[in-house]
Amino acid sequence: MTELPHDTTGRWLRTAVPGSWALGGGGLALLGLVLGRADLVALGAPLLLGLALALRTTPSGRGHAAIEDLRHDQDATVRADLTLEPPPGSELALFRVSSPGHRHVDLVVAASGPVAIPLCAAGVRTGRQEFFQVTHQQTSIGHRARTASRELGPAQLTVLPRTGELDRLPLPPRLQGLTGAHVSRRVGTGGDLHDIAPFSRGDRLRRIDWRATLRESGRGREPGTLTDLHVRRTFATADAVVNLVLDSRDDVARDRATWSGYGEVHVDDATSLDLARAAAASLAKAYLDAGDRVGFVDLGRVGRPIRPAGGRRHLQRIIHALAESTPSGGARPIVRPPQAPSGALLIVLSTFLDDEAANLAASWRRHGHRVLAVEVLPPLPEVPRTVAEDNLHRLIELEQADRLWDLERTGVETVRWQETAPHTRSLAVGLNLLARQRRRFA
Amino acid sequence: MTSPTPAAVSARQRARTLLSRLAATFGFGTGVTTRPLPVVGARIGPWVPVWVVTTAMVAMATVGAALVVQGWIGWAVLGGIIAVLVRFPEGPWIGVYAVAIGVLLLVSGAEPFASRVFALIALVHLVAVLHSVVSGLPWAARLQLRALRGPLARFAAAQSAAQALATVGALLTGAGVTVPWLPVVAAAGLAAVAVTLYLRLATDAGPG
Repeated sequence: MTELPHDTTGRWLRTAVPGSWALGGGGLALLGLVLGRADLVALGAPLLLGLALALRTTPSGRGHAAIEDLRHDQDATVRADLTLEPPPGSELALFRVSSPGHRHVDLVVAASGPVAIPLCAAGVRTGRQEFFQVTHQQTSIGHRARTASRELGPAQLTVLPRTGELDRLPLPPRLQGLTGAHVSRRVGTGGDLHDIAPFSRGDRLRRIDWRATLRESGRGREPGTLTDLHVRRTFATADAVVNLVLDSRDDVARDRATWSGYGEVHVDDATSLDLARAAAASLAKAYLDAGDRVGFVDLGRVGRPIRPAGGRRHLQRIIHALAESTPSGGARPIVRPPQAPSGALLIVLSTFLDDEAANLAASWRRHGHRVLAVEVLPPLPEVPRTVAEDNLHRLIELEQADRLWDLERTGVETVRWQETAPHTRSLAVGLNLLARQRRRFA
Repeated sequence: MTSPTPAAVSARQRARTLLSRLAATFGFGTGVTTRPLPVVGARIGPWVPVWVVTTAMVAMATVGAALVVQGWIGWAVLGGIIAVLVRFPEGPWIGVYAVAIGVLLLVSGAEPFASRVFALIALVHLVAVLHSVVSGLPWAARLQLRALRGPLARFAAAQSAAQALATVGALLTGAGVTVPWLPVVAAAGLAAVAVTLYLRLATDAGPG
């Protein structure tokens, strides 16, 4: 985990306040004495007394400021505690807290003792992000001195994608292994009855079906004569291998005006990469919970795939890899598709705004894999648009629809991931339909 | 406070976009609207914006001016000082304001220890205290109410002593008591206070 930012407070600097109060109080007192007006002395007396009170304490030393307990909560909010151990003689502390995508807030708090301020910021986006940059300054009692302002942070936090619940999932055309949660077509150790067959070498004795044996032995022979033993054979179980392929080369928001990089993406808007991470994490969790093996390939970093494996730790490995995936460098053409395990189901998560991911999916399909394309482009915001904007959006949608239609023609199944509540419903419905198409596998 | 529903947000966004486009047709702005960014959340307990305290300070400074000013020249001088006080917080302006109030009090021909002097003693001091708190702070900053406790406690302590001093002075003046050596003692006392403060301010290594 990244170390959270902490820093000492700045050195003390004098202010003009004591001189100003001395000028006011002393000037009035002097004026009163010269002109023989005691009321002017009384008018200046509080300033001198206040100054004397302020000068009783000399600010000194350094304090310590830190951002602690940085965390991402379930309500899509990032929280942290801003703490300050003020230097001796402090009275007030000024903080300017900013965070990317947020307006800053200025805080002035009492700092005669330790300070702890709970902070929060919107955390809809996932991946590696920066939060809470703080500029802090302290003032002494009576504003006699103030510290030089110091910068603290920002704190870095990797926000992991959340996982949703998915019920039924499509499976690859060939299941692998001798154990697992799925029923294969092969004969083996499982629960579902395959057939009743004559006993042969290698059959276990406890699989002998005595009723069937007696029934078959009784035909045309004397009652009570056992000839051929018969056994109950069952379907073997097997597990599926699923390879998640994330297209991290695009990270676009639903506001198309930000695609050129001109505007800033609003912090409340999940981008296509956030949706893809959430979809991939949900799929990985669902498959791994079912006992299957899941691998992960990031098209932005083709050289470092995660090999298919199972278990809870593997899920954490995939989720962290998802969070770390981010567009880096310029768009490079992918020369050849990453290797896919034999008989694996390939799930490609992409915006399909260009042909790269679609070509890869079609290539895998031609190699005989079952390929599922999950489109993760965020929906358009419902705001009035000009005719030109409408035309632009329509062109983008038509291009993408054409691309997906071409994919479907090659045999790739397509599903759309939408950011709706519950956010997995659209994908879950689509996956359910796909899961029903093929019930039993080789 | 509950957050607005998505429908309300959408309607608000739609209205903002239409207004922006309407303004753009008349040459104001570009017509491009962006949603307002959220503010970083922070919990500091009860607070007031700094501009409220600044406004209160200006109001008190104006009331103090109204007690002594006669004629537009006085208003111009004090109005200018108050404006500079707000605009340039780092400077000797609070001292200049206090001295200007004293001079205008003399010019107004008020009797020594008239009733408004007692109000001025409190007002000028309070203006100085609030100015020391808010000087240099952004107007939109959130000022924790607890942060005012220390300055106001010192204000109360200094005021009680100053008001008592003023009351004694008023009683002596009202009773016609004349103490020939009082100016000498007062001058000596004032010199002692001035030297003490000067030494404290000058020789003290200052804030560490």
